[in-house]
Amino acid sequence: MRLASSRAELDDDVEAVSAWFHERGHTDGLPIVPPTERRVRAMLAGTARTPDASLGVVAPTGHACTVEKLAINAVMAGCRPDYMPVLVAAIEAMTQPQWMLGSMQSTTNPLTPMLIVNGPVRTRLGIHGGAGAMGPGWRANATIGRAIRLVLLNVGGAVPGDVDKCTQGFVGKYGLCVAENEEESPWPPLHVARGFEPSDDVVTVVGVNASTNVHDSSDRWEDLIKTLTASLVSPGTANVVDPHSTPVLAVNPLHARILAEAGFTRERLQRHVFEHCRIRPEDLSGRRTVLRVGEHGLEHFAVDGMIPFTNRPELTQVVVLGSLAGGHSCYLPNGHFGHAASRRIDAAPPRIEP
Amino acid sequence: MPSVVLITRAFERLADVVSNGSRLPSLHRHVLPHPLNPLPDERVAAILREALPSIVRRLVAGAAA
Repeated sequence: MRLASSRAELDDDVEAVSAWFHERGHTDGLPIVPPTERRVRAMLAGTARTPDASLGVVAPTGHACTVEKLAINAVMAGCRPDYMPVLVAAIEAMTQPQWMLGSMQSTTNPLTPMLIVNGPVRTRLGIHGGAGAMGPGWRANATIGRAIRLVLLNVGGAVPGDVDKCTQGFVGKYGLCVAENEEESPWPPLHVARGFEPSDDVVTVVGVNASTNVHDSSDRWEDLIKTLTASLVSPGTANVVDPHSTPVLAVNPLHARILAEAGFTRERLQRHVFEHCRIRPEDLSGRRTVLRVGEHGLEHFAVDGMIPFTNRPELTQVVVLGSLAGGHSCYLPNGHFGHAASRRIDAAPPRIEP
Repeated sequence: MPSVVLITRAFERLADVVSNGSRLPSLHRHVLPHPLNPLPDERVAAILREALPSIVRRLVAGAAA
């Protein structure tokens, strides 16, 4: 197996290698696992794809993300080789032109790709969807999300402040990968709602802003749904200015159970959000109104005189996430770019020696 | 097609990367002051009026090339 990437001779020392990569702008500021040829070859054994195969063009540099480049960044992030098929599918999803990766890479908006993994691969790889899934402590979540961010930096050229014009940034830009908590969800999994079979392994990638916590410990669905819908929409939220946006509503299993017992399916929840999360046109500032309507008049998007959260109910991506421990759900807005895209994950390759 | 890209100063480096990535490294560009966003509309219009002769010169140069 021939590798094409250039080599650098460095001391066999994590600190020295991390410093060398950091000085050249190739890290997220954290130490890296040195991407030696041995480690990169071992990483490549995690996929049946050939090293020179392109998974897509990463904007704004326009460079192809080959399997080899992905493997190098996966090593740097601390991934295991068997994570490679998830990474391959995520890059393929994000580099579809309609995902508008170039805009996401350079926007002043604090956007990052959120990976939501469904199917049996979650348990096989230990991708966590339970307690604290969006926080620290889960190797697969942390390193898969980090590897994607390193690809966006090192292949796509999204150097913070220079090309990535994100105004303030947020911690999700270190990496954001979760599994749906299918086991504790009262609803069919997200990937089934998006047209896949339950046995499929699928990654759904959505460009999201930071999460807003929605806390309600009520056991009454009427109170809960009122809190949820009131918390999701405000004049400054990203999706208000994009009618095609695909925000993520991450419902914890407790909230999901209360809603399901009251007869809420995922589709009914999406419709409820669509019908109740609306903003008065006069609450949008002039410039945000221009962003929203473009060449159309504001009335083009209004329903009964109010501006809906999204154009269609099904655009809100409802995912069950977290534990039964408390009454905390969250909402992650989605703006102009990175609308939800799903991709089937390759089966693991037969075990081969690197 | 003759084209000029308008950018503000803060986005120059991004413009370099995007034009190179789009295989259009010689794309004409006009750099405006930054930031424009907090300025009143009348001030933004005045800045653009001031920039117009230079933009037209670049467009014409592009058409001639």
